[in-house]
Amino acid sequence: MSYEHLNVANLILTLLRYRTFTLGLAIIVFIGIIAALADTIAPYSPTEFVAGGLEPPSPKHIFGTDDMGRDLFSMTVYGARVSLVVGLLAALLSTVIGTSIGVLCGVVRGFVDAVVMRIIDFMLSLPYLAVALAIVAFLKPSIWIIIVIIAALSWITTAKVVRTHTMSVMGNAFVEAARAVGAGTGRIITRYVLPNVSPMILSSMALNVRGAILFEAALSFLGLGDPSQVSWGTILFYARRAGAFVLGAWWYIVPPGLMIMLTVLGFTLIATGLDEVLNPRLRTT
Amino acid sequence: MLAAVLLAVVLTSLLLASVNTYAAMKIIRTKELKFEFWSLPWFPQSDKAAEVIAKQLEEVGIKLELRRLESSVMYPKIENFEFQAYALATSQSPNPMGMVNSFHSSYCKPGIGSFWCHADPEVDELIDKVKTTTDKEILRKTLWKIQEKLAYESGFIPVYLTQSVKVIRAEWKNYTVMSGGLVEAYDIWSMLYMYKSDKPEENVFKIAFPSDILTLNPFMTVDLRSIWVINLIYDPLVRLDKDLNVVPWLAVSWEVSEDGKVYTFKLRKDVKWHDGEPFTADDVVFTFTEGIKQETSRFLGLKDIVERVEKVDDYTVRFVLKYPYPFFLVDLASGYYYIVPKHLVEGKDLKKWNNENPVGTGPFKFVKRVEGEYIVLEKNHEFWIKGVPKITKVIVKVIPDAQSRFLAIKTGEVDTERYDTPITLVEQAKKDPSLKVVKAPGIWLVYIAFNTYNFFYDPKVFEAIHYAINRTGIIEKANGGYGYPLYTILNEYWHKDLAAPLKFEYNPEKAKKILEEAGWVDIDGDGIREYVGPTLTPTTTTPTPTPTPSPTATATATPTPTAPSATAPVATVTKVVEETVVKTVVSTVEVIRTMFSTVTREVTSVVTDWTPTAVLSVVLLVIGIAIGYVVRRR
Repeated sequence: MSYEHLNVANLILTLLRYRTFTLGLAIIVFIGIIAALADTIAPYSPTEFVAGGLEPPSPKHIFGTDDMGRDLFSMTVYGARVSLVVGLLAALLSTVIGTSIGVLCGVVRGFVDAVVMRIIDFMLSLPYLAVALAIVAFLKPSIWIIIVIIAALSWITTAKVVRTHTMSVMGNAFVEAARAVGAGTGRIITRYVLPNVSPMILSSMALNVRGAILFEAALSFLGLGDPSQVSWGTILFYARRAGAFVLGAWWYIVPPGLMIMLTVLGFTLIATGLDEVLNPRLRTT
Repeated sequence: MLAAVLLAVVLTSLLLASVNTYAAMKIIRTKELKFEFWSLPWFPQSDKAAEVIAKQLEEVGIKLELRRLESSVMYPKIENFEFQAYALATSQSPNPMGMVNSFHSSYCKPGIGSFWCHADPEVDELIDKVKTTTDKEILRKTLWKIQEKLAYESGFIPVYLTQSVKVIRAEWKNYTVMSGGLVEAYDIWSMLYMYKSDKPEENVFKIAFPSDILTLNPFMTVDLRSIWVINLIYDPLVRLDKDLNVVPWLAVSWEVSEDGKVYTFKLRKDVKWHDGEPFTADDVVFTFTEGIKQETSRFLGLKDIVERVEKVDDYTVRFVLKYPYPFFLVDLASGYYYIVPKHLVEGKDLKKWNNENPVGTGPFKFVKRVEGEYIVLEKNHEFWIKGVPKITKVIVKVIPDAQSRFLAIKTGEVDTERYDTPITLVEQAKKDPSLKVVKAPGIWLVYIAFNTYNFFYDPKVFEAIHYAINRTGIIEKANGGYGYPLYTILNEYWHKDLAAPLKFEYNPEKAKKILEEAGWVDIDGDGIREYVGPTLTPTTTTPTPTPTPSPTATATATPTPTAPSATAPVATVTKVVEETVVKTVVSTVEVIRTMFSTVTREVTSVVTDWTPTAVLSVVLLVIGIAIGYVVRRR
């Protein structure tokens, strides 16, 4: 690993040469465009009953309709928005929390580190989904609450990774040199630690997005998502409630399932690409 | 002196208590017509209805914010009246008291398992009258009156009754269709007369259950699956025919005393237990006396009704009631009270009795049960109705998955299933000539209820909701059109002419008018109506800067002398500014207050429910830190 400051332009150019990363990025950009232009793309409102129940795909409803007569294409398109917003915001929040705590522990060490590590151990032993279900049961499941819950439960891995790397950076001679010259802790963190751990932060954030999207889908699938929003998980919940799995109404299940898969794949590819470029040991070329 | 004070305190508290229980419903209004609306995610008939209702009510300015909760979280909160509104389903039986009784003010208490509350001394009086009258006409009129009052005044809004749709193999003939659905527990007739072939050995009836029965003990039945099996092995005193009339069964005839308190039953003399012993009055007296005395769950409801059960002679039994209860026969026929053999059961603890080898008087004998897999029953050749049952063997198979059950019916592995076939599969069954779809009134009454105990009570709003929901539309969307619109707590499919002929046509305009007249107007343009009071109209609520405020125009201006009114524009402007500032401050404070109270409410609800878990977690955490610290030190 090089300890030089990252050159953003260089980094992007390098990344784009990696097919994994480019493919992942292409997928995410594609889904991002769908999400951004949902209002123009979707022919109907995702919550209005516009047709009869469970109509198979037709020119009028290209993904068919659900059991209550909503247009599944529109629902899938709007679902992209909810899933992406939840995924990105929750990942951002959890990365910020995780990074701050990781850097703090790695730099300060001692008692604070010991306490935080015990908390992390404790939280690692919690079954996330069960805890999230319990919390959602008592709080109103709005999209924002769900974002906060996901972030609150998923900052741990980021924190652990960042802490380890911070410690290894702190052990370097140049940090000691900086200290000798009189640099304060703040300066060491901003000038030396953060730039050097940022590759880890980036790739763990990409993984966090993936986790958050899956988590939101799981919550919604159990019927505990925000009922006023249509996400891919919500569509799957409706499908299960309608017995679509039993009925063979494939058009009900396949689009949201594929979209979830595709998005998760996209973010995984991005994370892998980042890892390959920024972590020389993984480089294959 | 002290005694006098104590006495006074006791008397006052008694007085207060009595006043409290008999106080009529108080009007409680929220600031706007916005409710958190709970629904069970795994019950499609009510969950889908909840979605449609929320949408329909939004059109008239009532906002229901849908929230899905698991029953383990939802039911305790509802029982403690910690909710705003919800959509659920309640099961129906031929005895109307099940529904009617719940609206007695004595059920209007948190923590006693009551799901809705209506406290009105007039309704109480009517319910008491129904419970004790012996006159059929008075009974019907009173029940109609109760239904009418509740329809207009209670926060319980019936939406629809589900239709039971079942798939059965087409070769079966001669079955009976009853309320509740084909081959449900009240329906012994299909099981007696149904056949598919003239050769007896081919008449094997196989039915798929989603899960195993819980018990074979007729005293402790809670699930309808167990009752279904027990119903074939044991007999009750009386049964319901296909129109839900009470007909003789083990009892041949009965007489009711003039005051309606003594029922004398003549019993059949040709009945034998499966082990050959004769059935006598002793068995009946034993079953009811012990069932009630040992407080078994099935017989507990009789405790308040039955004073004693006595044997008159070997084939005559007398029930003495505590009061003249008009639904006693219906209750006997529909309450699943099965007669057990005294000579085999005497001396057993009925609550713990597991009845591994049931012996009854019914049309089928118990053969074998493999827990979690199957149950086999065979025809009782000595059954006291000659020539039946035509079915020679009954096999109950446990098939947990709905699709597998349906496929099993399709392939002929089983003939039909317990519980309704999912609506979505019915469409497939219709196309298959080897299958038949049998429809009947179902048991689920889907309704919405508001927390009238401590959150919201304005009967005008409830009346408006009756007009604002399109019941046929809901049935179409929520249950594929399989259902019957309901307007009152009783219905003709279960209670025949006892159901009041009341109907609310879908009419959103009328709903809007009722709401406006009751003082609910959307003044801030967010699509949700706020309460402004019945005398005001939206135009007068927004303050208009009039140069001379006359005392009649704005009531708030009257107490202060109207001196500033002489110096016209400047004073008015400052006044308007002042008003705006005050309004803004007040509304900001209000917003902060509501935010704060919401947060505290949520936090306290979490804390009260999660205290043990939280304490445990903290303790574990501390121990963990301590261990970690010690290990590090070394």
